Amino acid sequence: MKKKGIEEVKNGKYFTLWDLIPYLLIAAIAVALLLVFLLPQKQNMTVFYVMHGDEKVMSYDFDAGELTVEEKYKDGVVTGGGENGFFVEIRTSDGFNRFFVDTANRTVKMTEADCSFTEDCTYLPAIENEGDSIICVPNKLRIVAGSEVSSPVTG
Amino acid sequence: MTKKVVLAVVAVATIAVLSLGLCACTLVVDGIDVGDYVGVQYTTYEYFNTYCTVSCYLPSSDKKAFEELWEGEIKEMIGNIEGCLSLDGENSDVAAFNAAAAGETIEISKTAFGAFFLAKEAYGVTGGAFNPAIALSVDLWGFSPRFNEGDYVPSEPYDRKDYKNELPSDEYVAAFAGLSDFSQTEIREEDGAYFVRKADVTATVGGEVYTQQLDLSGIGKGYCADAIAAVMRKHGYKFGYVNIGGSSMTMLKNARKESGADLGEWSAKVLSPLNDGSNYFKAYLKDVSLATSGGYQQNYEIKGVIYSHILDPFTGAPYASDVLTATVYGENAALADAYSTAMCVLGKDGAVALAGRLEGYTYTLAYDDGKGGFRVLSNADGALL
Repeated sequence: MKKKGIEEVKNGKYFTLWDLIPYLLIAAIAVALLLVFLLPQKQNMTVFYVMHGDEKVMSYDFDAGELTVEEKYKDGVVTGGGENGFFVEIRTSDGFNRFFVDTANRTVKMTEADCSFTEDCTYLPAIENEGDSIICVPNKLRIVAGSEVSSPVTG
Repeated sequence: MTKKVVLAVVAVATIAVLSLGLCACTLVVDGIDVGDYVGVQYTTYEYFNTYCTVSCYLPSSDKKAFEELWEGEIKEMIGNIEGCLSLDGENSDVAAFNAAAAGETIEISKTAFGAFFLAKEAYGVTGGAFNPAIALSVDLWGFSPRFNEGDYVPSEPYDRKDYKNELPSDEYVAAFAGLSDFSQTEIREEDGAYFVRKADVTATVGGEVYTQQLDLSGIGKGYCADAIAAVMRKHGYKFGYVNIGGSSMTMLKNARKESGADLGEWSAKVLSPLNDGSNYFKAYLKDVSLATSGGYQQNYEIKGVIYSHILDPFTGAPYASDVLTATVYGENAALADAYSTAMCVLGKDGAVALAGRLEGYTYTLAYDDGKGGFRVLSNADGALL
């Protein structure tokens, strides 16, 4: 490698494109590592869907703000406005449920069930992460956040 | 630095970055690349008076085959197990046992025999704290299925019209507790056939003669969860889990990486006994069966006293120990079910003593701290939430 003279160095640029390459590479590796370790982790839900038995009733996409109700359940689903979100009321052949969709915080909370049981589902926490779910056993209603497979919860 | 050296560094670095990028799209669990696996989940509410969810991660090309497996072999098997173990129904072995005379021997199915066998084992290991021969007590206190259907009508001599506000008579409580000696009930296999001999004991109250009655719902869900998981494994499905009612679960491996969990592990949360919907414990599990019992759900309150659906076989009344909830996991969901129930009955000290006798089973329990809260005892590798 040719030795540079003092004047040549003084008059030269502070750095060249070649000097930046190692830093760019380190940055790229850091981004790749972030992808590897962060992507598989649980994330806040972007969509949730509601099942009655094995049939999908409706779904909601938080990003698009889009509510989709399946044709069969169009007459059984009613929505209404609320602060920071909206209510959904679902009446199926098994019963009635009402839940609140908090669009600001991206959570869903069951608030009412007309079953004759202890209404356990109304005491369950609001779902917020991919895979979270709320199940109303008597009314065979299940709200699942995003993921195809809900997380295991025992109790 | 010459151009050649620079180019070499850039080439190596590019390969490294591409490899890492590729890693982000692949996930190898136990030698299987599950990065492109998709999840499917099916739920039925037709059995055990609760939900049964089967979750599976599989190659997308297997989705149709798994749906057929669910609709065919799995559902048929759930129906068969529930049919054998239910309290009523034409094909119910338990109903046949309950209808038999004291001391009578009846033939039962292989499926029922498997459940009876596990029940006998659990009864022995727990010193009778788990006891399926308390069906009459369960019915007396208003926790059998006929009370859950919303159209309850008093029909038995011991029924109360308003059973959630009126306690049963002590006479019935004592009489039914006296019928629960499950050690007198014998099972045997003979030339490929299966038999059970009912305990030769009776109790007479109000002119009615009662015999020992079984309720295997305490282990039935776990028994079924394990059976479903076995079918999944038999067909090559290694990723997923089975959840029956939230209280009985059998886990295979997880095909998704969860925060804090090792590859292949599920992050299983346990509901708080405060019944506020929060979770109090999280365990990282794979290829294991799990069960939870607790008195904080399915109960009623009379004059400030909570009466839970878990019956104490020694008193014939709802359990009144300091254990609010117990979770047990190990290789068999039915036994885990039985052990978690027994821990509630035995109380904190008895539960810890029982845990010391259990090989291959891990427990976590929450007990009353006397101040409206709870404390936790556990030998599990998990995290308090």
